[in-house]
Amino acid sequence: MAENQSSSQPSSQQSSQSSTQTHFGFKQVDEDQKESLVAEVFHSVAAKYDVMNDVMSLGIHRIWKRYTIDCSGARKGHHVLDLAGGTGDLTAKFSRIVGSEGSVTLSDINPSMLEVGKDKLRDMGLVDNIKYVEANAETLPFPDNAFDIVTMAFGLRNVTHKENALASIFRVLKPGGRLLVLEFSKPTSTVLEKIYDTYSFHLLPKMGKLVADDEDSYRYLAESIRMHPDQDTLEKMMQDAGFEGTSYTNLTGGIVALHRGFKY
Amino acid sequence: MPLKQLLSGLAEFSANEVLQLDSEYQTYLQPLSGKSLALTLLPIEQTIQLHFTDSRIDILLPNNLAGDVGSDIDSEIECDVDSDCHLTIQLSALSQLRDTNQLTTLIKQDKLDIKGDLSVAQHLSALVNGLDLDLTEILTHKIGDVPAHSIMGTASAVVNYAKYVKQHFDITLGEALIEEKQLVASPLSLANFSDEVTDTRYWCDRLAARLAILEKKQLAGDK
Repeated sequence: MAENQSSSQPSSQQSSQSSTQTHFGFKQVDEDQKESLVAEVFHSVAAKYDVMNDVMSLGIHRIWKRYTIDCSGARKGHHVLDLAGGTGDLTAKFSRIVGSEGSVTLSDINPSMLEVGKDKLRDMGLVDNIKYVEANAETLPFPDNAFDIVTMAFGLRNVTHKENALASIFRVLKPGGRLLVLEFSKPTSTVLEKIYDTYSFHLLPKMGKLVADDEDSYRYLAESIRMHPDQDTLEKMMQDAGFEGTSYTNLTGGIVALHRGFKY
Repeated sequence: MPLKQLLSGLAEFSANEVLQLDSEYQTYLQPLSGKSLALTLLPIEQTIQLHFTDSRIDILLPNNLAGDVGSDIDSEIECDVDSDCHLTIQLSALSQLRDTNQLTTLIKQDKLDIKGDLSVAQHLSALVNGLDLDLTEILTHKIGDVPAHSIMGTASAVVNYAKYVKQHFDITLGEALIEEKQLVASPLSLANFSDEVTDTRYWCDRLAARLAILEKKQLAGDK
């Protein structure tokens, strides 16, 4: 359920610690080391990523992504950047919506994920208006004001310096463009949170072992979710990056939240 | 979970599965390829957007931010609908949309409003009406003649039985409400009541006329 972006984040809890250390799940590692560690996780899960997403979320991730697209306001001729787009679930839909006059750029830092996405989209017959770019969200290799919409689904929590990524996204968005961040968040109910914790830390790694033969990667995914900022903190970070009209919607009791912000 | 998105996902899946059942569906989709159609249903004010390619239909609920658990979205959300054709129609008239001959009548009755390229709506109507879905033939290709015939025969019998049960239930329920519980008036009682009301009104009118005459006479006598 975690589309790939580079290294894990320095969360607010960690800012008081050494500037060269950051989180990798619940562990502390050097910032330099993180990128390769996260890359290993996603190299490891890439082949069975879609299957695992369906198994882990009982298919609900499709509804969350559909909601994101509904809120995107995408239309014919738009240029969309699907950041940390992984295996291209959002890209496929955007590609059909924007048509031949528009374009969708599927970007991911992990070449394995990008390759899986490329194969999948080509198998679906989507070739005309999709570009594939291997890029780090913190330093996007696109000109200023290039995109009408930027989406980032299940990717931001893996970024080492989220504020850099948000600033970079702000730069590449056109005035009037919007950012949509779909990401795991904090459940709004304590009962749900306990059930969710039990599921994430006990069941999820075992499912990872069973389906993808990779327990550690899925344990990291569960840990990285807990280290991600909550809804209000992320909204504040978006505002600090310059986004206006920011808002968020809790989905499935806050397990996931869709944040939205505009560049004016 | 966003329920509307779940429903639109199911609708999209079903629509594309149904399309695949007709081997010539691409002939009908071709004129719609690259087009989009928005359908706003009144009075619920729900907009559904259809995007067509030459092989499938995508269904979106544009900028639909209401109705989710824990929503903290601002209420002032602009409407993100930009389609080649936008139909606004009363929910009750939706079934009549299949017949393009009805369009003018629906517009005159203020049940339908069309903006944009009318040909998109016409091509969609042609797609819906043109699909040739012979379920027996489709099943025959998948499971063979005899099982397909048996399944369809059984399905037909089940449907007929369901219709019979429903009809029987309607009659029983009607009799229970009218005769036993006396919660609803029978058609005969209603007719009698109407006749009595008509008679009463007739006699009231006659009485009023007679009073008017007597009043007139009284006034004439006083003078």
